[in-house]
Formats: sequence, C-alpha cells, structure tokens
Amino acid sequence: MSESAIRSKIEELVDDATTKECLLRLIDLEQVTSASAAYSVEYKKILQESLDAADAGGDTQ
Amino acid sequence: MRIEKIQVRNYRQYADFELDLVGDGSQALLIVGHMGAGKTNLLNAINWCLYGRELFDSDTLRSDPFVNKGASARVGPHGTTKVSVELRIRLDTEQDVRLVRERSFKVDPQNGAVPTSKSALVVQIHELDGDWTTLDESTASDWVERFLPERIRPYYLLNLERMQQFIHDTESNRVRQAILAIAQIDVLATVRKRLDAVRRDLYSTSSGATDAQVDGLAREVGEVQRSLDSVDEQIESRQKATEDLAAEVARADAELEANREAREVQAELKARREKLAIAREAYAAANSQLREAVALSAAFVLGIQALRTTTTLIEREKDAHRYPAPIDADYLRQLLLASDPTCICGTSLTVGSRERSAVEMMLPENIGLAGVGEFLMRHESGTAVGFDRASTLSSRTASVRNQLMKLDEEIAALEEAERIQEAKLEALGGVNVEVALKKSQRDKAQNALVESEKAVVGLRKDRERLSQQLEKAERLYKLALRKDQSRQKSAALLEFTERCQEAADLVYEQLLADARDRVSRALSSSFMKMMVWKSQTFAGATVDPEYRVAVKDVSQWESTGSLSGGENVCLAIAFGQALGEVSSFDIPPLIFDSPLVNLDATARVSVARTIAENLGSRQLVLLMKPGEFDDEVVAALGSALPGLRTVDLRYDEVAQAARVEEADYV
Repeated sequence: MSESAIRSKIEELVDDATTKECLLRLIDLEQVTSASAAYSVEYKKILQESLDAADAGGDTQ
Repeated sequence: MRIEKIQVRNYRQYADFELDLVGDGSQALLIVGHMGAGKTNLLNAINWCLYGRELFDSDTLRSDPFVNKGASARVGPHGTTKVSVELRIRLDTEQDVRLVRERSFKVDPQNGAVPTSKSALVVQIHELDGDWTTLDESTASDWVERFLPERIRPYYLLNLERMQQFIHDTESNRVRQAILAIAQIDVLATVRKRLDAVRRDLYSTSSGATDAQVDGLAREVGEVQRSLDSVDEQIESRQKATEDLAAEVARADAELEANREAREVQAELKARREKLAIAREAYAAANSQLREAVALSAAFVLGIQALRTTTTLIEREKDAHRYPAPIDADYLRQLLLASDPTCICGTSLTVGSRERSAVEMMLPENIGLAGVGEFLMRHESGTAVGFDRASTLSSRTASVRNQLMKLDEEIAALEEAERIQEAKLEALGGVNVEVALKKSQRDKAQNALVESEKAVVGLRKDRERLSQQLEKAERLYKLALRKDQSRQKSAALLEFTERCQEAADLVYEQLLADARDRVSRALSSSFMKMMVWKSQTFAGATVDPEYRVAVKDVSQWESTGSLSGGENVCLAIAFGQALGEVSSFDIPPLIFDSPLVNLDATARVSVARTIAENLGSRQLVLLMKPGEFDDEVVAALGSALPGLRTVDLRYDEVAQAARVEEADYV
C-alpha cells in the first residue's frame, strides 16, 4: 500500500465530486502539517471553499 | 529507504565508531557480536538519533552509563564531552539525507555524566544542485515524522519480545492500531475525528439568531456538545492512563518473569554445584583408594617375586636331588653325639672315620636345606593367598581407575553445565532482590488499571447518553435552522460537513478492511513457510475481523496462547514482515535484534530463509550472537541474498570501545 492508496480509495468510493475534492484537500492538510491547533479554522475554510466552488459550478448533489 | 552509514561517538560501548551498512551496495548485513558487544545499543543509537530517546529507555534493568566510559575517563572529573549519532540515509528517490543528534554532558565525580544541554537534531538534505540544505530543528522533527514516524518504529526496529507481547495483547487492539499506523490510514482517522469536531462546532457556534427557538436549541446543542467534549477528553486521558498502566503491568510482569527464571536458573546452578562438590569428594576418595591399592599391590608383587625366586631355587635343589634333605638333621646330630655311633644302614661312624667326616660335612648343608624347606612349606599356602590378593587388588585397581574416569567425565559435564547456567544468569541480569517491592508495585499498577478500566466504562456510558442527547438536540436544531433563512448557508455547510464525514467513514472502513486482509494473507504465507516442521499441523494464520492474531490448525482456529515458544517467535517475525506489505512510507529497512535466538536448528534455517525470501527490495540488518546461527542459516540467507555481507562487532575492554571488523561467514 502506498500513500496514494487513500486517494485511490477516495476516487473509487466517493461519487460526489465536491465531497471527493474536499476530502483530498483535507488529507493534504493533515499530511503537510502535524496536529495544528488551528485545524478547526482550516477545516471550515476548506469545507466552505469546496461548497462555494460547487455552488458556483452548479455541480452539488 | 536505506540506512547507508552510522557514526556513533561517545555513546555507551561506542567511542568513535563508524559502520558502513551497505558496503559495495549489498542489501543485507549480518552483524555478529557476543553478549555486551553493543548490538542492542546500536538499535538504541538509531532510535535515539531519530526520536531523541532510546528504544529500551523504560527498561529499568539497564544500568550501563549513557556516555561512553572511556570518553568520561578521558575528559576526567568536571570535563565535558559530547555524544553524537549520525545516520546517512538514502531515500527511494535516490536523495541523500544526513541526520545528526548531539547532546553535551559534564562528568560529575558523584553522579557520572550529567547532561548540560538538550539533545538537538539536525537534518541535512542533499539537493539536486549538490548543496546540502539544513532544516531547522522543528522542520527536522517534521522530516522524521514524515519519513520514519515513531509510531511505525516497532515494525522496522524489531524486538521480538515486544512483538510477541504485542500480538498476544488482544485487549488493547494494538494490532489494529499497527495496521492503521503503517498503512497511514490513521491520517483518515484524524480527518474523520476532526470533521466530527467541526460539525459539532458548527452547531454550537450558530447562536445569536433572532429566532428565540433556534437560539435556545443552539445553546442546548452547545452545552451538550461541551459536556460531550469534556467526556471525550476524560475518556482520552483515561485511555492513555489505562494504556500506560497496562504497559507498566506488562513491564513488571516481564521483569518478574525474568526474575523468576533467574531464580530457577540460580537454584539449578546451586544444585549442580552441590552435585559437582559431591562428585569432587567422590573423586578424591576414589583417588586415595587407588593410591592405597596401588601401593599394596606393589608390595604383594615384590613379595611374590621374592617367593618365586626362592621357589626356583628349591626347584633347582630338587633337580639336584638335594631337597628335601635325605636324612633328618636332628637324627644325624644325635648319631654323632652317641658313644657308639652306628648308622641305620650299619655303617660305623666312629670318631676319625672317613664316614663320620662325610656326615659331619653334610650336616650343616642338611640343616640349611631343612630350614629352607620348612620355610617354603610354611609359606607355600601364603604364596597362593598372596597371588589371589594381588589379582584381586589388580582388578580392584582397574575398577577404581574406571570409576575415576567416569567421575572425570561427570565433573567436566557438571563444570560445563555450571558455565552455561552462569551465562544464562548473567544474560537474565542476575537475581533481583527487590522482588517483593516489584510485586507490590505491579499489584498496585494492576489495581489502578482495573479502576481505570472501570472509569473508562463509566465514561463511555456517559458518552453514549450524551451522544443520544446531542443527536436529538441537533435534529431539532437543524429543523429549526432550516426555517431560518439567515441560517441557510450555515445549514448547507453543516450538511456538507456531515456528507464529507460519511464519505470519510466509508473510505476509512474499506481501507482498513483491505489492509487487514493483505496483512492477514502475508502473515499466513510467511508463517507457513517458516513452520516447515509443522506443515501437517498448521493450516494458516490470520488477523481476524476483531484484529486478533490467530493460527489455524488442521481443524480449527486457535489463539496464539497455545503455541510453543518457537512457534510464537515465528508468528511474531511473520507479523512484523507482513506489516511491511501495507506500509505507506518510503519502505524502511528491516532491523532485527537476535531474531533466531530462541529457535532450534531446523526453525532457524526456515525462519532465516523466509525472512530473506520475503524481503523484496528492502534493506536487512541482522544482529546475532555467534551461537545463534550456523553454516546452514548463513547458506539460507546467502542463497536468497547473494550480496550478504558479514561483520564482527567486538568490544575492546581496554579501549572501552566497540569496533567492527569484516568477517566471512558466508
């Protein structure tokens, strides 16, 4: 298994593109920073950005 | 990833030590060293360099100083010295990385070497342009966390004893944690956990609405959420405490077990010594008997020789018809004294006659012959007895000699057994006299563990109740929120967060199931390859859905508790290697400390072969004692790993430093 196994599994199992994209961004966040105290702010930011992008593109579920 | 070189200065057995682990590109290295040469401390040095602590730092039996004794002696009292360990690593991307950890010490005459600085790690990366980039201290730790995180350390710096405890520990779900860590699925677990916290936070931070109902519900959700968070924190803290206590109990159990074993060894040693003393006494007694018997036998032999000489003389006299004496000497004497001496044959023996002169001449010879004859008659039976006794003594001497030879062999065997027992006792660290104290500490920790586990159960119940309460409050809040146009955006974010969390859950469960399956298959394959002598008994091994390691005999699954010591060792090694199958990291080297020490000759060969054959492209470093392997083991390793290199690790007591020499065991 390699680091990309998580990504492949997300690609394979998650149908919704917005959710998929958001999860991949969150995984990136966890892999570049260890146990950040400000994770809540970062998470909300990523979630909101993903949602906004989906709204703008009209591809939400 | 390969560890290419290690340099150790002023650390434990190592004064100024450098070991090239790959030589001319070999994948595997066998380091051979006697007890105390520094094998385990080489692992400690690697662990200290990477993580700032020793692999066995919790082991209270260790008492040797951290700073090399020779280094302390060289700088003298109040002098300062620096301990350093450097690792040169080559990543799979062919990039070179240098890690150096240092710490300064001052020699205190009373307390030995005391640290004067914190240990500091420097990581340097060799860039493509040829320059070395030095990372600052926090980034250096991040580098280690990214490429060789401490949580995967137990699966590449393999210590069999701990690995065995690990796979037998069915309570704390460590096998599951190991798979999560090595496959890096724990990253997804963290995402799930944080999404959950964000979701709760979104509920609790949505207050301030104009709608009183929404406000009230938001407050309720927030309060329940805070209670839940507090319970979560308590559970986490309790769980950590429980794990620490469980580890303490396990450590105490291991120490007590080692101590019990040491006592048994000591008792056996005492019994053998008593037997040896008895054998030595018997030897001394038999030796003294032998000496007496030899002396007596010699006396008899001399006596018999004298009698034989005399007998020969008599025989000669008989042949000359001079024995026995023809006429009784007393009769002749009386005849010569008589007034009218006439022989019975009628011859007159008057004074001056020729016949008388002849009788007078014959008389002394006659008297002498009669004396000898009497003597011989008297001693004839004694001679026979003497012969018998000499013969008996001779066979007795031979028997005592045999007895002495047997005693000699017995004493040699007992002395050898004594040496083995003494070595065993030394290896076990001797007998600890503070057993009662350790037992009491262990029982105390066990009681605390039970209490802690009870507390966790209680807290979990609280958590479940609060979760249900929260779920209800959240449901009501969501309903109310939907009605509030101004909260539409928050509601959308909340719903999206929940969707992400559900997706993360799905991926997490699936990844974990896949990883378990792969580890299970690799474990079974390796285990069966190793168990050549039980191929008719075992059908496989598995990590079951409850994350317990189990073996299957021909009819049913069994727990690992029923395995023998050697079978357990094989299972632990197979599990250690199987974890490598799901590693999501730059594949670390496999470093085994004394992997074959508890196995018999057949198992050693099959385990060595399996380790080598399952290695793939991974680097292998084996640290073994000289008696741990034989030619067949080396041949098994060498056939799968043609470039196998071997070195001897020796500790020079005069220089107080370990050194390494190329060796040729292949």
